[in-house]
Amino acid sequence: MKKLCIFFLTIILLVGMTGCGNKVTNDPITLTMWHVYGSQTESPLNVMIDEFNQTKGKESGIVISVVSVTNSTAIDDALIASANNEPGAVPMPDLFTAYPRVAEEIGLDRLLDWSGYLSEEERSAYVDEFLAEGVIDGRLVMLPIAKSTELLFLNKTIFDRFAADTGVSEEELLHFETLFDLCCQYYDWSDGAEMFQINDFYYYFLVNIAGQGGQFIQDGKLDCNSEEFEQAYLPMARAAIHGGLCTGDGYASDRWKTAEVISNIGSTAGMLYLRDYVTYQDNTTEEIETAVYPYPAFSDASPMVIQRGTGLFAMKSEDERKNEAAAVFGKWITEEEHNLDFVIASGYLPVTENAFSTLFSDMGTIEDEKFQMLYGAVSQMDGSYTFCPLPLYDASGEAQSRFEETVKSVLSIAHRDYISRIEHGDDPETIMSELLDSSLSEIRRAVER
Amino acid sequence: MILCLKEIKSALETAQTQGVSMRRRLMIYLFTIMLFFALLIAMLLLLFGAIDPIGYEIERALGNQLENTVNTIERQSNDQAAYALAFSQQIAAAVKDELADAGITFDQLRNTPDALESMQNKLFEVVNNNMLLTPCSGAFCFLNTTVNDTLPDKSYSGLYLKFANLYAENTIHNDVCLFRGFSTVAREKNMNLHSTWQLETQEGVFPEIDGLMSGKSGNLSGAYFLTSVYKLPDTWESVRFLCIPILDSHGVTIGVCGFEISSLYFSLSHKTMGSGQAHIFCALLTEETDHYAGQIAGNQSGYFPLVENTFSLENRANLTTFHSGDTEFIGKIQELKIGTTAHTVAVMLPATEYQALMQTVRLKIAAFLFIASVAILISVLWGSKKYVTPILKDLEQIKTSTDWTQGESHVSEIEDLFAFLAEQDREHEAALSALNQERLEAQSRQERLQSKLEQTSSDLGSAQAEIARLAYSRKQEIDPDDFQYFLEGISQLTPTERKVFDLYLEGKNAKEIIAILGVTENTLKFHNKNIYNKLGVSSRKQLLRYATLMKQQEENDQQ
Repeated sequence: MKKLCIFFLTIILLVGMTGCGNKVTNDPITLTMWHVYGSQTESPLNVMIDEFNQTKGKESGIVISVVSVTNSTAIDDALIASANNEPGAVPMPDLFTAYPRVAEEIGLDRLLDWSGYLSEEERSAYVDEFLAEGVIDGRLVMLPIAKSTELLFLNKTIFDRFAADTGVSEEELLHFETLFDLCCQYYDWSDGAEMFQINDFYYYFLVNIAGQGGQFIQDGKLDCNSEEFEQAYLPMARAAIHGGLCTGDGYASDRWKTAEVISNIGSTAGMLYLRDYVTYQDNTTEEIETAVYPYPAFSDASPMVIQRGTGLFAMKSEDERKNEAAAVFGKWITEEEHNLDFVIASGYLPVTENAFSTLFSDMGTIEDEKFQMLYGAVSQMDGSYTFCPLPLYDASGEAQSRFEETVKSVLSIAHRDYISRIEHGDDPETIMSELLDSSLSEIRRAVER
Repeated sequence: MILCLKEIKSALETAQTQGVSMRRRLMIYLFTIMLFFALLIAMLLLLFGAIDPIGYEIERALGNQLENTVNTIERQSNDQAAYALAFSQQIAAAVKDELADAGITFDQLRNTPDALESMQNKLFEVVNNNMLLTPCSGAFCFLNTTVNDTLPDKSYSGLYLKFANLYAENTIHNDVCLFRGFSTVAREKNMNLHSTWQLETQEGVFPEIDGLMSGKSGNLSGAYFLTSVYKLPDTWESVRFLCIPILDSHGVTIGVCGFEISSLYFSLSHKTMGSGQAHIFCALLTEETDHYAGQIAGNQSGYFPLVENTFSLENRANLTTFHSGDTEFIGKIQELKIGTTAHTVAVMLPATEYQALMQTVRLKIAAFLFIASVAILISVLWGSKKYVTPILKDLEQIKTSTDWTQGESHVSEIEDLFAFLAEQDREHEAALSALNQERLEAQSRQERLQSKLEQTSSDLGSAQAEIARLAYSRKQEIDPDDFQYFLEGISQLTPTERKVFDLYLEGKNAKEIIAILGVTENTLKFHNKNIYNKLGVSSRKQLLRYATLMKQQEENDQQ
C-alpha cells in the first residue's frame, strides 16, 4: 500500500511538473538588437542576420530581431537613456553595436564578458589589436565584428573639371598641406562651393598629432596647447576660414548627394552612402565617377590612420541561454565566410587574421568596382601606415562630441567673419592671420573649459 | 472513458455473479459512485460556465486582443485623421500666405526652384510640428507642382520628413531627417538628409496618393484614407500613409498631405500586451488581388516566426487560418474602415503555438483526471480498508472464538451478533446436554438390545437348526412321488388358486385370506378343495409342509 501510494504520488508530481506549466518550452531565444550598419538604406547586417535566422539560428533556436538601425551617435544617446531609465527611454536591447566609449556609461558589470564564451583557439583567430580594443578593465565587453579605417573619397567627375580648369592634380590630394590648398582653390574656382569635408575633426587631430610624434590625449584630457596640435590645426583652419573645407554639421555623404562637397575623409563604410550620381537644385542628376585614395598625411609626418568601427556588445542576462545565444551569434558573424560577406557588402574590414589575409590576397573576388577601389586603397596603406585605435578615457564620448562642435562652430564663425570683412575691403592675409590666431585661442579656451 | 465504464460494468457484473471479497465489492461500488459524482460535477461546472471547454481560453484571448487592437487602431486612426484635417488646412493657409508674399499664383510655382524652396521653408514648421504631435513615423505634404516638368519622370515637389533612428513608439528622442525636399531646407533647419534622399517624389510610386492628387475636390473631412503598404524606394522600410487632400480656397486639390506609419512604427506601437498569450500578435491587413498584405506588430514573447507580410486567409467557424509562405497561423479578424478604405484587423498566433497550447490544456485536463482518479482510488482503498478491516477482524474472531460472551467489537451489529451467538451457544449447549443424555440412554438401550439380539440370534440359530433338523426328518418322511406331484400340481393352479396358495405360504390364516381377497368362506373352501386336489394333499398342514420343503429346496438351488 505504501509503495503504491509513493508510486502514485511520484506520477502525480511528474504529471504536475510536465503538464501544468503555462509556458511552451520550445520557444526560440529571441535577442533584440540595435545596430549601426546600414542606417536607413538596405542594411548589409540585416541581410546577414536574416541568413543567420534561417540557418544557424533556426538550428540553434535563436532569433535575432533587429529593432533599430541607426548611427553611432544616436545609438549612444539611446543606450545611455535606456541604461539610466530616463523618461521616454525603452528597455535595453539584448545586443547592440557601439563604440567602447559607451560601456562605462552603461555599466561594465551589466555587459557580457565575451571571453567566457570563447575558447583560446577562437580568441586567437581575431586580429589582436581589434580584440584588445574591446577589453575594458580586463573584461572583453566588445566583440569586434567589423572594423574600418578612414580614406579619402573623391567625386572625380567634378574634380576633373576643376583640374582641367586650374591645372591641379590628384596627387595634391595625398598630403594635407596640398589638399587644404586645393580646398581654397576650389572655393575660388566654384564661386564659393566647398570641396572637402572632414567627418570627424577629433580623429583628424588624433592621428595627425600622433604622426608628428605628439599626443592629443594627455592624462585623460584633450591637449590643444601642443605644437603638434597647432601644426595640424593651422593648415586645416586656413582652408576652413577661406572656404572650401566644410565645417557644417551632418555627414559628408549628405553634401555628396548634391555636390555641395566633392571629397571627404571618412570611414571606409561611408562608401555605402556615396551615390554614383548627384542631384542638382532643378532635380536634374549627373552620374559621377568615384575615386578612393589612402588617408592623406602631412609630408613631414609619419602616416597614421584611425582604426575605428563599432563592436558587438551583449547585455548580460540572468537567463544563461540568452548569453549563450549571443555568443553563438557573435561567433557566427565573425566566422571567415560570414564576416567577409558582411564586410565586403558594407565597406568594412574583417576581424580575423584569416579573413584579412583572404580579402587582401585576392581582391579580384570583390565584384563591385567601387569596393575593389576601396580595398585597394586600404591595401596601399597596409604596412606603411600605423593604425591608431581610439583612446578610451573618462567621458571620452562626450569630450569627442564637444570638441567636434567647438571646432565646427569656431571655424564656421571665423569663415563668415572672413567673408564679411573681405567684403568690407580688409586685407585677406591680415584677416586670415588674425582669425587663425583667434580661432585657435577660442578652441583652446573652449576645450580647457 | 467509455472503455473505463465498460470495465467497471464488467467488474460489477463479475462481482454480482461470482464470489467477491467484501472489500473489493465495497471498493468497486465506492469508486463507481465517486467517479459518477466527479463526472457529474464536471459536467455541471461545464454547463454553468464555471469551467471552460478546451480551446475556449485561447479563443477568448484572441477575441480580447482583437477588440483591444481594433480599438487602438481605430483610436489612433481617428487621432491621425483629426490631425491630418488640421494639417491640410494649415498647409493650405501657409501656401496661400507664401503665394501672396511672393506675389505669384500656384501655377507659377512650377519650374521655379527658388519659389519652391522658399515655399518648403515656409511649410517646414507646419509639417514638422504636425509630425511631432501626431502618432506617426513621418509626415509629408506634396504639392501638385514640380521643380522641373521637362524631366521624363514626373514628380511632386514637397516636403517629406521622417523620424531617423526609430526604435520606440515614443519619438521624442528621435532626430528628424529630410526624406524628400530641398537639401538646403535640411541645411537651414540643421537636419540630415535621409540616406535615400531625393529632391522630389516620383509619380507612380504611391498610386493612391496620385489618385488623391488628381481627384476631384469635395468634403475634406470625408476624404482621408489609409493607404495600402508600400515599400519605400531604396530602403528596408515599408510604410502606409494616412493621407488627405490639400484644397485651395476654391476647393481645388493642390496637393496631398498626411502621415507615414512605417511597419517598424506599427510594430512598436501595436505590440500586443496583456492578452494572456505571449505569442499573439496583431496585423493590419488590406485585401489585394489574391491575398492580404499589411503590417505586423510585435508580441509579448518578442518572437514570432519570420514571415512575409502577405497572407492568404481561410475562414472557419470561430477562427481564421492565415497562411504566409510555409507558416500557418490561427486567429481572428475584424473589418475596419479607416476613412474611405477598408482594412482588416487580424490577431493571430503561430499554428504550432496554438497546437502546443491546446496540447497543454489537454495535458492539464488529463493530468487533472488522472490525479482525481488516483485520489479517488486512494480514498477508496483507504476507506474500504478502514471500513472492512474491523469487520474482517471480528469475522476472524468469530472463526476462532469459542466463547461469544468474551467477544468484543466496535461494530454494533457485530456486537449484537456476538450476543446472539452467545445465546445460541447457550441453547446449543442445553440441547447438546439433552442429546448427550439421550445418547447415553440410547447407548444403554442399544447395549440391552444388543444383548437381546445376541440372545435372539442364538435362539434363531437353534430354531433354524431345529427347522433344518425337522425338515430333514420330514423330508425323510415324505414320499418323493407325492412331493413331485405336489410340485407339478402348482403349475396347474388357477391364478386365484395361486394367490390363495401364496397367501398360505406367507403364513396367512383363512380369515386374513378372506379379507385380503374379499371372498366368502365358502369360496375359500372351494379354492382350498381345488388346491388340495391339484397338489395331492389332504390338509393345510400337509400343504405347508410341502411348501416349506419346496422353499428350502429352492434356496439350496440358489446357493
